[in-house]
Amino acid sequence: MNSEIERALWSLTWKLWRHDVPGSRRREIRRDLRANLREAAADVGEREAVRRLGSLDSLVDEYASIYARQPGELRLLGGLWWALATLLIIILLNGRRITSVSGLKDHGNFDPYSYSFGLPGGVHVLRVFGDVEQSVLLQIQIGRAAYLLLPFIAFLIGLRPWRLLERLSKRTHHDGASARV
Amino acid sequence: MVSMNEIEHDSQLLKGVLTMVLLHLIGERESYGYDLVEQVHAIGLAEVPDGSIYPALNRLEREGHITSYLVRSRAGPARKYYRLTESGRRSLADRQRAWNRLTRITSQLFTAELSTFGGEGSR
Repeated sequence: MNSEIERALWSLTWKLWRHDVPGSRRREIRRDLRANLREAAADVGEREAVRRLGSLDSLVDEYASIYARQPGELRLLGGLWWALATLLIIILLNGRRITSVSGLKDHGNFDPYSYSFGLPGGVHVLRVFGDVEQSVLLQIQIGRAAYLLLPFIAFLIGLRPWRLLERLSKRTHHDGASARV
Repeated sequence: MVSMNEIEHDSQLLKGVLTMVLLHLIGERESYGYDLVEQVHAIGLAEVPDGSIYPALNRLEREGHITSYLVRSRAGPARKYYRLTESGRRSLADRQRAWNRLTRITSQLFTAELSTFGGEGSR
């Protein structure tokens, strides 16, 4: 496992996503870079291979200038995917219980714990708790509000609203430059 | 006074030359990313970071100047080889003409300047 390379690739993928480079291009870039970095690592070592890439931000800017969608487009489909994926995760996680390994309580001090997240007005969103005495290492309880709230937040993230802000900031910058000319 | 380091680090200058160099190298021999990085460094452009070369290849492919195909490698993941297209060949010829014209003009200018300064210095 090339950990330095994989770390750099994950960081790069995340930055490419933020720059709205389409998923198929992100995968292609990652695959090509992985192949080239591994070749380089065989010659100069992983760390040096990653260092020779130069600034990851500049690299992402270069790729974004080739592949990124125009700023300002809200990604409606992206938002829906995020919401759907979050809903699926909630359904899968709700009520899941990890039972403690038998005899675990004899090996340390495991006090019962409980963390709750909610909204003002006593609306229950999420509760995580555990009690080794009752053979529960971790249990997740998701409130009804979470079924609406979390997918909605995910939807907003998936829309990538900062791309809209980027367009506004670019327009302001452009207007400023034109005014100076 | 401009130092040698400043010239070597002039990324805009390098970037302009890099596209032409890559087209030339791929035209000479079909090649893959890391091999091209080594070739670029070997001809004396060691200042060019690897991270400038890989996106430059993507840009050339997107513009239709090169095409790519995958070849299995025993060393690891498949290598993406690049091949010059007809459009790439034309682009390289155009760029070389423009470059030759530019260097002719600038070298005339600099030779004239050098002889002026050389003449003053010898007095």
